[in-house]
Order: sequence, then structure tokens, then C-alpha cells
Amino acid sequence: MKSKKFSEAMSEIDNRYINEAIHYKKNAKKNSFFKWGAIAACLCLICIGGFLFSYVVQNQLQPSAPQVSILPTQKQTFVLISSLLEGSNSYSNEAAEETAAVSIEQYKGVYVKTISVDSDTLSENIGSAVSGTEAWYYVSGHTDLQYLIQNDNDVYSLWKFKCFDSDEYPYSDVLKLVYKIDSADKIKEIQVNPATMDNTDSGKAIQKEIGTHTVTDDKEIETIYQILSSLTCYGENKWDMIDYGNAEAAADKETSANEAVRLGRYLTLVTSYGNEIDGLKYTEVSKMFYEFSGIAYNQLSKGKAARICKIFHIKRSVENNKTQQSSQPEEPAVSSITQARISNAMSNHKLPFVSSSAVYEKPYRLHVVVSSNAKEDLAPEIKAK
Amino acid sequence: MVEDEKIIELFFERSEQAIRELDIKYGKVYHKLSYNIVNNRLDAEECVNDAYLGAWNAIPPARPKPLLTYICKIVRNISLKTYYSKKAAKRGSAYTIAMEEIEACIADPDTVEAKIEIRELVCIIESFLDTLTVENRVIFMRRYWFFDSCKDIAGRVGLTEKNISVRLTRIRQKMKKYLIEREVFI
Repeated sequence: MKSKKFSEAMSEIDNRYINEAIHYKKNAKKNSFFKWGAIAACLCLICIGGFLFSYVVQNQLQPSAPQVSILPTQKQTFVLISSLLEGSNSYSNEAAEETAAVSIEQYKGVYVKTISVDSDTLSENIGSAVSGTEAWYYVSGHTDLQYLIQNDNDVYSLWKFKCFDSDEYPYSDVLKLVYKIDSADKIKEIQVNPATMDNTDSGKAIQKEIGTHTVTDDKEIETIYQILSSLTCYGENKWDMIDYGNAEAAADKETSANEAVRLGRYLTLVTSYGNEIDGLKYTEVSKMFYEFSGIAYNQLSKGKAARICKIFHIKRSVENNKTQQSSQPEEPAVSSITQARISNAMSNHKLPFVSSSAVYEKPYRLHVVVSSNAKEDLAPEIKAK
Repeated sequence: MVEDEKIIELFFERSEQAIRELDIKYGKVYHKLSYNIVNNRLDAEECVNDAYLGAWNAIPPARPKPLLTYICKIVRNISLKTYYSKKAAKRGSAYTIAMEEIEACIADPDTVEAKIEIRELVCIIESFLDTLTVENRVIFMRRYWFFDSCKDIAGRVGLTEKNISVRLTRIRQKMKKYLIEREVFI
């Protein structure tokens, strides 16, 4: 009876324990061949190290002599992501919207399953395991985390980075941690494509008129990199923050409100190691970058927006320009003024409890962060604007 | 080898090829599991066939994922049922049969046993499994879910047979302590 009851309970046990037991692979460390192999390899390394040390001492080599660092990726063949994707349209690839979270430093990266080549082909193209995870692998030859391969019980699938699971984070962290872009040199070129949210005949005509161009000038790439690095991202599903104009109106010849296409650009950043980052979009309507799935960024200052417009060849219509110029005289960004006022008040000891402050611009409001317990001290400074 | 999704599609199309593909892909696993329980080739064959019939009736509407685990569960349940019915038949005495008939109706008021529902026991066993290392958990599951021999488990996890035996003893002791702490006496 006892064993029967236990057996019945075991029959009801969760599938994950059964899966784990089915797909468990033996640990290589138990194999004596590998054990003795590792010992032999260590001995060899000690011998080589000793030899190199004596060689350096005897020949007084410069300390700056090139050092050999063996990275796991050096042994791997670099695989182009395009060879793993099935179909060329990234939007249809993301249509399934199956997501998973992967820990990346202090963040949780949201990844979307993409339609890719079959599991067997993917298994042949995996690189080293992503540290801190068991089922996630780099694509062979890659050190970036834009695309990862997941091993789910020997079924391999390709996943694409979407955003961090956080309400607010600097985009520079995405560039550094995910795309491994820590300077403008890492961006080879930027393809600027027309916005395709309106595919009526009229919309397509505007797209054709705008055309595609590629930014290859180092200074322009540096400018874009600096602006992208300064962005704050507010995560996904923030369509209420994004205003890219009235897409439907583009087809209506009676209105001049075709700015959705005219003032929008879809970007593809091509990295020096051959990856294509194709999520970013820019709209001059609200002067902001955004992404598919409603990933919103902060609004750009007028100066930054003007530089972006110049590089992306975005031209506002004459009427729009006139109305903008007459209604909005040239002035510094609101965030800069507020930040200056708070900093000034802090230095004049008007805010004795505030130790630090930061001001972010959002499309429809300012976001002021301070370390203080005295809210009433701040009120006059913010109200001033 | 045909993908699981393709096999399920064949089930949905009511094609008998689904059973053939399922047997080609996972037949050995099912037969081994069933044989471990019933200890008879013919009975194991019958249990696996019954499991295939069960899958045929369940899919559609069910769309199991993963397929291997789903059918494994069916095979295990059918095999255990066969085992208990054969065991009862072997004992054969009128007393045993009569007692087994009445057993379900008897609850011992002095023990917690009667009060513990199977579902609660499952939760406790699952939480116990979570306290084990992956390797020990696999050893435990291979022994008490798949009923593999110590020799088979040793080959699977890369340890010696003796090592498996010692580990299982320790896991059992740990589980006994774990169940007693939670006032479970099965």
C-alpha cells in the first residue's frame, strides 16, 4: 500500500522532472581520459610558461610584446546571422512573439523567438554558453548578445534581443552589453530607410521619393553614436509616449499631414563585426527614437534633433517650418534649464537635503529624480519653469 | 527522424503512420520503461500498444509537448496497472482479494496517512526534489520513475554502480527525514 501510494504520487509529478531525467547527459569530468588529459594539458602549460619566462628574461623582451590570449570565440567559425534566419523580413520573424528572459549583468533581457533554420542546423552553429545560464548559447564566433541560441532539451531555437525588462534604462547599456558597441568605431555604417507604416500607393510614392541612403561618414556616425548613447529607454508597450504622426493621413491628398512617412526613418546599424541591428526607428514628428513593440525613448533636444534630421535627410515641409519657427523660438531644452536651476539651488545651499539630482525629458513630461526627503524644497524650483 | 510536431500532425490527420513514427522514434524508451515495471516482454509489448491506443484517443484534441514525456506517463500508468492486477492474481487467495476490495474504504484514524491526499504528497515530493542537486535528482527519477537498474543509471550519469547505490541510500534517508519533518508517513 505504501509503495503503491508513493508510486501514484510519482505518476502525478511535474513533467519537468521527467524531462530532466530523460535528457540528462553524463558529466564529462567523470571520464578518466579527460581527467588525465586535463592534467597533461596543465603540465604542458606550466612547461610552456616556464620556457617563455626564461626566454623573456634571457632576451630582455619588451613587456609590450604581443600576448597570446585564447578566447573561446577564436576557435569558432564566425556565422552570419542571416544564414540562420528563415526569410528576410524581420517583422514576420517576430510575429510569433514567444518571449524569454535572459540575465544580462544587472538587467533581464527580453528575447523573442525568431523563425530560423531547423534545430539540427542551429545546433551546429552554437558558440560558447552564456555565463550564468544553462540553456543559452552565443552564435558561433559571436561575443554579442543580439541573437542567442536556446537549447531546450536538445531542441535548438534562435532568439533575438528585444529590450531590457525595466521601465527606464540608458540605451548605452544596450549598446555595450548586448551589441558590444562601446565606441563609434564599432559601427561600420548606418542604413537609413524610409518609414513603411503607410503602404498605400500614395505612401509608397513618398517612400520612393525619400529613398534609402547609407551613412558612412565617420563624423556623422560619431554624432549618431553619441546621441544614441545619451538616450533613455522606457521599455516596451509605450505607444502612448510615441507620436509618429497620422499614418492614414498620408494617403489623403486633401490634408498635408503626410509627415508620418516624410518625417520617419527606419534604421539598420551595421557593426564592424557584421551584425545588422534593425530595430531602431526615428520620427521627427515627436523628435524621438522608438522601436517595434512600442519601445519608447526620450524626446531629443532641438539641437540633437536638428543634427539627426541633417544626417537622415529629413526635411520638414515649408509650412511646418514656418509655423514651428514662429511659435517656438530657439531655446535650450527644458530639461537643461530645470537641471541648471536645481544644480544652482544645490550649490547655493537652498536644497540642503538634496545630495544628487537628475532630469530626464519624456515626450509629455519632465522626470526629475533627486535624493532628498524634503519635497517642499524642490517645488518652487520645478514650478519656476 | 521525424519531428514531434510532424508526428502530432499525423495524429490530427488520423493517419496510422503517426503510431509507426512514434514507435520508430521513442519505441525503445517506452518498451524499456514498461519492461522495468512488468518484467515480461509480452506484457510490456501489450502495455506499450495500449499506450499508443490511449495516445490515439487523446490526440486530438490534446497537443502534448513534449510528446515523449506525455506517452511515457501513459505507458507508466498502464504498466503499473498491469503489474498490480498480475500481482493480485498471483497471490490469488480469497482473503487477499477480499481485503483489497475493502482496503479503499478503510481509513486508520490514528495516522496522518489517511488525511494526506495524493496531490499534497506530490507537492511535498516535488519540493524535496528541488532540494537535490541535478545529478541526484536524475538518479532518483531514473530509479523511482523509470525503475532503471543501478547499472543502467551508472552508465547514464557516468558514475560507478556502487556509487549510485550509495547515493540512492542517502537520498532515501534524506527523503525519509524530509517527509517525517512534514508529518507524512506513507
